[in-house]
Amino acid sequence: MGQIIINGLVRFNTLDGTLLSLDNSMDMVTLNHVNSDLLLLLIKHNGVPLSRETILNELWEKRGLSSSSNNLNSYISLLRKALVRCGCEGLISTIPKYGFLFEAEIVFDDAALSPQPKKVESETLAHLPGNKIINSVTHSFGRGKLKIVLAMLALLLMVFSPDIYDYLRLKSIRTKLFNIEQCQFYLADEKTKRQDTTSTVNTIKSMAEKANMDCKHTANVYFFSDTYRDASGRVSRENLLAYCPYTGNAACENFFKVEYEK
Amino acid sequence: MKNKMNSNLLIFLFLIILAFVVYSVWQRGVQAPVFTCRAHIVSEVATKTCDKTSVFDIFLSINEKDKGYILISGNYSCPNAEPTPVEGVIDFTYSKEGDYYSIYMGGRGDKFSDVSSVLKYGNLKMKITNLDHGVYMLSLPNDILMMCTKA
Repeated sequence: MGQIIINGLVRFNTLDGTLLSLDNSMDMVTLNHVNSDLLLLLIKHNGVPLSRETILNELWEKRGLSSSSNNLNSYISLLRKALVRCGCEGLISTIPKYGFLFEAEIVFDDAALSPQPKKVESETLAHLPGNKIINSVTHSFGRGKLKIVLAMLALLLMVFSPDIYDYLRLKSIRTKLFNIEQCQFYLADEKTKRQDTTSTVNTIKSMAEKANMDCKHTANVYFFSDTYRDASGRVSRENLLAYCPYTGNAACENFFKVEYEK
Repeated sequence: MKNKMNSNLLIFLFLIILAFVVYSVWQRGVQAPVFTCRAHIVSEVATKTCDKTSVFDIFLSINEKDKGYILISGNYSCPNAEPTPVEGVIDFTYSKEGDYYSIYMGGRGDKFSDVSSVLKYGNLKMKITNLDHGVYMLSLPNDILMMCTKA
């Protein structure tokens, strides 16, 4: 991560172009990518006058873009205001009929962005290490890629939201108990879910065998069970096993059994 | 300025996606005004008179105009007795009360109560729960009636 501390007051994040006051006295300032690149260029040439032509060439012409001296003045003005908001005033001086001079105490947190030897800094921009520009382009590319990823995620969410909703809804309604070949057995009411699982499984297997269910084809099977006591004290147990095939339009087969306890 | 425009665009897109998701989920949860489903029922009920076995098909239709009908076709029998056929249509009216349909059964003979005890009641509160693959669960407030397949 490219972190640069300016005058011990401001942390400049070269990845997202943000300026953050170290004592948190100011809100974060986000620079647009031109101003972010401009500040990085000035920092790289800390204490060395930069001509307008050099800046225009580095920030625009080398990228196949065009700009004017007036545009550069606007960006310099915006950058000065942003730095002033962070408590760094007078870092950029105008050199009449030449260009600009950036002077500040710079500390590089990131080894990749560590300052070049002074002799290199004093060279013209045409001989600047290429990794600076590559970094800048990589940052823009990274932001673009993030947007594409976010857009894809949003699209996936739109497409699959009904399925996700259905999945969660079904999960809240039914509980899978076990499989027999292609049949998946579920419990779908709270009374049955509270009953002893072993006894429930045995009852289901017994009923499924008696009903001669076809589990060679995919089907969902639902089981419900309840016990009733009438006014005379007689207890009855009602079991319902419903076999619903996946394929075709075959109706669910409901096997209903009522037994009275003796 | 450009950053602000990008933020506004992102918020706008987010709101569109949110609206789409909410609408899709809402539409899934809404019961269609016209509903038809069918089921095959095999029941074994021990009664005082005999251990009765019933086999019948049910077709349930609920239409938009607060009316519907149940078509029943099948038979029941006691051991060592000839099966008694039961066929007919029960018309009903209904009103929607929250998740439940309040169903008011029309005229019907005693023969239907021999098929299922539920059919002897004049008023039923029934809930229709959509599961998957066109399968619905029909339930009363304290009982599960049956599972049926959308017709």
